[in-house]
Amino acid sequence: MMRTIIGALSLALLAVILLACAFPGLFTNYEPNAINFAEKFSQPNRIHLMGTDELGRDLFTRLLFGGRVTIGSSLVIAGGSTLIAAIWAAVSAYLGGIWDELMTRIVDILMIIPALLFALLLISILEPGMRSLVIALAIVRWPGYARILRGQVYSLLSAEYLVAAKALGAKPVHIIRRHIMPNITMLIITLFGLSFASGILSISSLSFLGFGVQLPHPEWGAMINAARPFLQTRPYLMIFPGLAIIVTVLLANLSLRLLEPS
Amino acid sequence: MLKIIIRKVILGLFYLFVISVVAFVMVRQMPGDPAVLIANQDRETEAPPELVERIRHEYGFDRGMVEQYRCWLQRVIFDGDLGYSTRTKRPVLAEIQSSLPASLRLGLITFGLTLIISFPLGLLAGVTNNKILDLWIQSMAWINYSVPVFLLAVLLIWFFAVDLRLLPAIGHETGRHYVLPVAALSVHLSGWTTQVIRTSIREISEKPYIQFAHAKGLKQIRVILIHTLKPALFPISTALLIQLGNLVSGSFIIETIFAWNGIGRLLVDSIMARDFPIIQGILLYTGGIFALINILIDSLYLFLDPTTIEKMGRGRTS
Repeated sequence: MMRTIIGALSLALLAVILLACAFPGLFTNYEPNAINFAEKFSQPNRIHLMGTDELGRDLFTRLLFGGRVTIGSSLVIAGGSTLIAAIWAAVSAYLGGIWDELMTRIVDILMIIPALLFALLLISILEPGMRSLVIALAIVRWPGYARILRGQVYSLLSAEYLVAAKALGAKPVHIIRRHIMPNITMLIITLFGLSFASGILSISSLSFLGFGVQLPHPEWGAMINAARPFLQTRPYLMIFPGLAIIVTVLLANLSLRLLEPS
Repeated sequence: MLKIIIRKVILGLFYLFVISVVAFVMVRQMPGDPAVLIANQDRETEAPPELVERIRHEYGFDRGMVEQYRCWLQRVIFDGDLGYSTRTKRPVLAEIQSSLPASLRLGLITFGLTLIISFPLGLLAGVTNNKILDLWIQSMAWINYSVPVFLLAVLLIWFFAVDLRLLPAIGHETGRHYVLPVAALSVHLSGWTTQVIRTSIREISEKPYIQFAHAKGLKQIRVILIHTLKPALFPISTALLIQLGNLVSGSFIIETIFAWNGIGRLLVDSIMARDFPIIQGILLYTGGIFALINILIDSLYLFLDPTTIEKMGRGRTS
């Protein structure tokens, strides 16, 4: 009961954040990169909800547009990595035999290359920027999910009701649609959610270090980095983007509670 | 059993070979000419083309990729020589060995502290019937997990190093230097670890044989420690050992913020300088550590649960 309430509430709040970042124009009249020296460093007030930064840019607006980058790219990473993993696991289980063995080995090899180091190398090969960051993170994330999904499909295939279904003469398509898919859909959604949450952390961390967006475009991690010199005097410049990351990751994880079997 | 472990080791070596090929090919796909970078090092003016040409020949960049790889592999296998850094001219092995201990120490201390924090909490949340207590521990764990390491690091530096002047913020010379980085990493990691431990324990404690153990009147502590904890250690140790590998290699964010000369920083600097031998060396070295951890996990399984011998014998390990 408690779990359902927490999960539903988190999902609703997360939806609000996603909507606000998807359509920032509905919530703010400012431009994210519009410089206004007359109003620089204003404390949070009624005109500037979260105050302004060193160039007089409206922080709330930058937060929404920044969230678009952070959340949008995390969604792409989560979607991309779980999709590759699901296809890989399905094909591997379907082909079976030597192909299954080979595909499992490839995943094993990818798993022992340290993920973040691999991602950095990929970013330097594809020219630096947000697009390479997203591609690199999706590439290093999928093998872990593929391994989990493959394990799940494998244990399903040996379940008694599936053996019975096969004995009764069920066709492969029927088995995949009626018995396998419903059983792994939840797992795929869970992996997507976890991947989304960890994607936000990875994207903002790497942007914080300067691997992602280029200035002056806003992104939550990059905004925290930009706020470092003013931490002593203008702490709100770091508090708001920091809270945005924490709250979004937290809500994404709590939303997944809805799916847990009670 | 020994046969299976030997098989695993051979397989691990084969994986390392594949990784070395992948690393070798990948570094050569990076934009920029390493010969030009080496030639222009420590020079005020643009290097003359003859010099670039000479360097290209000296380092073997003008030969085919297969030929280059063969030379490299030959030296690695027969002399244990990973080559020389093109940036610092020191042996790759020396470079790695001078930066790995700091990262390793940071990883191990963080890992230990994380276990001390999250094991009792995860266990408690997993076995308790008290819903409120479970909820409290879980909420704390999720919040801890949601705080990005870099944000906490910046705030810790500001509070303890700048404002209170209690702890150093840069370098890794003394034990005091470890306090802030370890704290920043442990908060995030312990949130994740507590969840993993709680879930594994909860899964086991809902099994019928645990209910039966309770029903036949065994002492609570015995049921928890022997019947629940022991089987739960499998999934927990797998998840945690993988985290340890990530911790050692993935802490370059912390290394950058606290200006440590760790393995992650070395890689970033080497990528910037197109220092091929170092990049290959690091990938091989860290890949080796990961492969070793994997073999350890599998051996642990074989040791603790004899039923896995049969499964692994058939080649189904994961």
